[in-house]
Amino acid sequence: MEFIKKQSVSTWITLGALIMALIGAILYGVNVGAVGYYHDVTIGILVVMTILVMIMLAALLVLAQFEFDCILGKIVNIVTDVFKILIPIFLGICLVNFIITRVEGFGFILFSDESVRLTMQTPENMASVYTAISGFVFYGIAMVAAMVAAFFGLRKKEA
Amino acid sequence: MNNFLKVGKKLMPLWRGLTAVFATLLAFFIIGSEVANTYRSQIDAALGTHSFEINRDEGATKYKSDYETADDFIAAIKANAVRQGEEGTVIMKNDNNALPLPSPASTKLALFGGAAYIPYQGVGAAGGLVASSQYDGVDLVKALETAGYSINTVLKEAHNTILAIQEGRNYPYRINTSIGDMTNYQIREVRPDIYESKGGAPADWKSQIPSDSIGICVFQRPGGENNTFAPGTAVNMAGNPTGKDPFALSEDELAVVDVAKETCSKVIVLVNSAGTLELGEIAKGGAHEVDAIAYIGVPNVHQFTGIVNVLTGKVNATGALPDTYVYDNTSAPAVMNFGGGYFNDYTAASVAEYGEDPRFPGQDLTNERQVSSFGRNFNMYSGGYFIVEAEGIYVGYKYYETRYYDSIVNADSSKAKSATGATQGNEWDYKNEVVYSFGHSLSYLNYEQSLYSINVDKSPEGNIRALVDVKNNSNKDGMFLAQLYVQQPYTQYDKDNLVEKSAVMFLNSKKVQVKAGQTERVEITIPTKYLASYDYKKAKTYILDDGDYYFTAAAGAHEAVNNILAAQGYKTSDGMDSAGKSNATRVWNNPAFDSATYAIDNGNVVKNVADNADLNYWLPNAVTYLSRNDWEATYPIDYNEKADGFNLKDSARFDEWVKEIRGMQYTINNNGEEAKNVNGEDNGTKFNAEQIGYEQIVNIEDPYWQNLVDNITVDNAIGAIIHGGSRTDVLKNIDNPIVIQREGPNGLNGADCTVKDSEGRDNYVNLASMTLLGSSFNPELAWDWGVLQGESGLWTDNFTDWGVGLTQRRTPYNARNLEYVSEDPMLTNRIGYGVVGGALVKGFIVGPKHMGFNDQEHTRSGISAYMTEQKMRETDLRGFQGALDDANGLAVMVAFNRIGATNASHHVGMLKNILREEWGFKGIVSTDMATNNKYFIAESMIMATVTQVADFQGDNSTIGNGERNDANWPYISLASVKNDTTLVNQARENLKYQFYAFANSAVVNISTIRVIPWWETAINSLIIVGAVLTAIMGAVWLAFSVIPAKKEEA
Repeated sequence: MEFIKKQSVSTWITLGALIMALIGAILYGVNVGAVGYYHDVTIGILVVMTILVMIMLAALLVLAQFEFDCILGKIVNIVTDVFKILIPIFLGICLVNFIITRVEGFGFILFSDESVRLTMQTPENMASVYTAISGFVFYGIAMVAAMVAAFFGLRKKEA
Repeated sequence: MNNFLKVGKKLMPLWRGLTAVFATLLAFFIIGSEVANTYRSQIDAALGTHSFEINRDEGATKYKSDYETADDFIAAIKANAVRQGEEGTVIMKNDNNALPLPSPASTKLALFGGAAYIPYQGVGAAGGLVASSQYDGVDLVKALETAGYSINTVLKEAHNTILAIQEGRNYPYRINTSIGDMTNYQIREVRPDIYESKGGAPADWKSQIPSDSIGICVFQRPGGENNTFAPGTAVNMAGNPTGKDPFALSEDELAVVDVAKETCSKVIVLVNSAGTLELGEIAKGGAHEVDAIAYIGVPNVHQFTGIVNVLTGKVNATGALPDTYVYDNTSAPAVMNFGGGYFNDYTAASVAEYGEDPRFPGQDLTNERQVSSFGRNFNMYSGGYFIVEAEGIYVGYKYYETRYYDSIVNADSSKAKSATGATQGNEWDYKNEVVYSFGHSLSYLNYEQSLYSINVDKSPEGNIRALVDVKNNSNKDGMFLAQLYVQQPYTQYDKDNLVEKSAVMFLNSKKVQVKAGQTERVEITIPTKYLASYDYKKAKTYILDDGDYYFTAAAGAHEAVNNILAAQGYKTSDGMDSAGKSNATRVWNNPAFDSATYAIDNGNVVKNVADNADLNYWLPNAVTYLSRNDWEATYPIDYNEKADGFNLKDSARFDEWVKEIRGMQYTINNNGEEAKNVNGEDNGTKFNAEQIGYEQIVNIEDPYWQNLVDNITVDNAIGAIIHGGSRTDVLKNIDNPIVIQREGPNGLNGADCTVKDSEGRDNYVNLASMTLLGSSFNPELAWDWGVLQGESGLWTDNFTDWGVGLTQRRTPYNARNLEYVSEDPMLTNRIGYGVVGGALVKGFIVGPKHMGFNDQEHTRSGISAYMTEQKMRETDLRGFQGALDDANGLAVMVAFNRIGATNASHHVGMLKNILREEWGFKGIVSTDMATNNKYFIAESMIMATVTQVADFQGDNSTIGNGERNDANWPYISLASVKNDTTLVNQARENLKYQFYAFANSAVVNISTIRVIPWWETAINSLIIVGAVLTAIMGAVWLAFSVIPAKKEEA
């Protein structure tokens, strides 16, 4: 209980961003793994960026539990600040790349001529579309959360 | 100062937060800018903006409109559409003087069937419109009312009420356009038993139809991209399978016929469909026989005016059937192999079983069929699915009429009467199979056509000239249709070497105006080369057999066969169903077997180029192709249902087969000498009217063209091809204009494709109907339409259109048939010649599609269509030859599927050897919307002379800007191709064709200037603002981060 009380707003928001990004990544995995329109439509940069984001978010959560003094403290502060700036950027890149690799498919499945659309809107393809949209939403929430977290200090200020 | 630092330090989270926000937004804007640039054309179309302006050289005189005003042009193009309705309407049956309709004053019309009120007018891929989309669009009701006819209001109101019923987003009684992908098809109809309950008709509605009314029933079937009907899969309104064919008249439709017969004095049925309905039930002797039947195809927005002009007798009926109408569509041998299936061991070509693909290291590529045609980066070769087009050349009438002929002339030896392939009775009998033959055409005015003379110029470029006398026996002036047919000799050589010959072959047709009681002599010409047959077994080139060639003029293929039989001495006592007119026939004799005259084309030796399209190449004796030599023994089996199936691994050529399936027709060899001008050069050669003179326009060998493409960087040369289509980008050093490519078989379709009239109204110009152009049997009408399509380009500043579908209608089940012309390659050939040739008069490029056997939409992305080379050359390709060889067309779109195991867009034999070398084609070769990068392989397409791999993007004529690997084909980069001079030279050669085509079009009269639309300014502004704010906030955050704490405390 004490541990929970000790956590700063930033930590909670960071944890939230981590969970959202994780769900987004899982949805991406489902999107490329399940039968449907986006089966095997992988995005290398999304995978790399997501891994980096996870590492940075995890690092922030861990570093938030410790106090560092002197020059080490200074360095840690700068590094965590850099992480806080980079995380939303990387999540934004994930989101944009997720969207741009799906948007043409949305065009085919949702906005084609009627005759094409009718054959494209199979349950598998529609599931693929909904999974992708859900992935966008979670990456988007993670990105916004990470931006918000950047406005807060790493640790809770002692009273 | 201290306070400033203190506050600054205190606000550190704010600086950091703002830096994060601005940097994230900046990343968004930068990536967004790249994406927006790629989809520039689509954004412009959606927002009504322009990213470039066209500068027209007003001094140019080569391509000018014939019309002074937009109103004049609009009137002309609409008049042509009306003419298509007039000339395309086919009277199939006309008894009891049902047609033409009597005068409006004495006629009461009762319209039955949903299609009478909401006809199918083609939408979507067909590029058609619906009447309501154009301010003066016309449907059947409007056309009849405009002609002065009154329509029974009880029926009209009941139908309109029922058609307006909506359940959710669906209209359950309107046409079902959800054909789907070889699944059940529900036939929806406004049944008589719901007129009262759902339509609000009074209980005595029948008595409110005057008994002297004429009933018109309209039945429809739709079409559409990505859709394929499946034989025998009809579903009724209750959702239950009926076991009938989707093209058979349903119980509901027959109930409509019955009630029309019960309440009206005469009943006429109009067939509103591209696919052949099974009409036996309502034809002569049918259980529900009607008085008259007319084919109206899939009209566009103005054709109904012309159709009604035929129904009312304002003009004579001159249309003819572009397809054979049979009692049972499954009686066609082509239907025996339709849809397709897997090889037993199709996975043998996968990475898991065959091994890694060096182009895609680490990727687990399968060989599944690709369900969708759309989507990128599928991890599958999509090469496991196949069909065998075992019917060979015997598609449509060529099967039915040849078997009929053989059943009379040599029934025993050919086994033409065998029960094999018969759908009724114990033996095959033409009258039990065919309802109306190809070319069947009834005229209101009595006339005769007879062949006066025939002249055959048997030289490589020679023509057949037929003089046909058309005698108008009526007391009214009118237009008439003359059709020319031929029978080639079927010799022992042919039998020995499996050279197949149809007993009758359509060659060409012409319409002529003839005064009452008079005769007009019309000349019909056609290149003699079309008399030759392809011998893929022995001579391995085109041959012209020795013997008698019987030419005849006739109103349809069946009449033509009977004329020929009569000329050969046969009579009805021999089994003919009608005595032919021997005097309508002329004979030309070829004294000696000739395998030389047509063995050279355009200076190139004609030889086998597709041996491996034959499944027997891979698996000897696997397939027996249909031969008239023995109908019984060679009638196709379903090779996808063959008991033990086929195995890829059983082939002695298994490794070669896998290479074809994987698209490895060419492998990049980057170990050679570096290509010329890797980074391009500016030698002063530009694409503009000043430098493109007569010599350059007529001669692609002129040094100008090589100089032009030598300027292009290797990155651009490869990139412009593998990321082409939709629009042509400006390439470095050559200043070529941007050319937007439009899509629409019925004419220019999309944003910026309407013409404003003097009243400020937008007028669509995609007004054609391919179905009615086909049934018009009039290449001159097609030519006139082509010229008007060219005019539409001049009036809308457009230069290309992917239009006019010239794929053969192999079966009725391909839902794409509404874009195609006919089951007959030569009718398709002549209509294509007209549209493409006519458009070029105005410098407009019409690119026909989908060359190379798009015989079904089902699994079109990857299905292997196996066939003989005779079929390849004499069926689908012949349909394209008129446009691309004879009319010197300048663009063509290739089909999605494979020919044999080879992607049609990789097919060097079809695209390079036949199209470019034999036919002398010098234009644009585009893939269809190439998507799966494991199926469409960049280097193989380039080597097959493809000039553009179609996608929806623009400003992307690059391989990763010369710095990165390609986005679609990651094994391709500038570094990985620049030392493959063969590939680079071919890419530059292909671009030469691309620009040569534009030089021979109205593109040569323009230049384009890049302009920045407001949305681009907005994005650029956001990037600048974002960058500045990010920099400021980042600097502030950094400054306060690094200020020492000591200083802070001080």
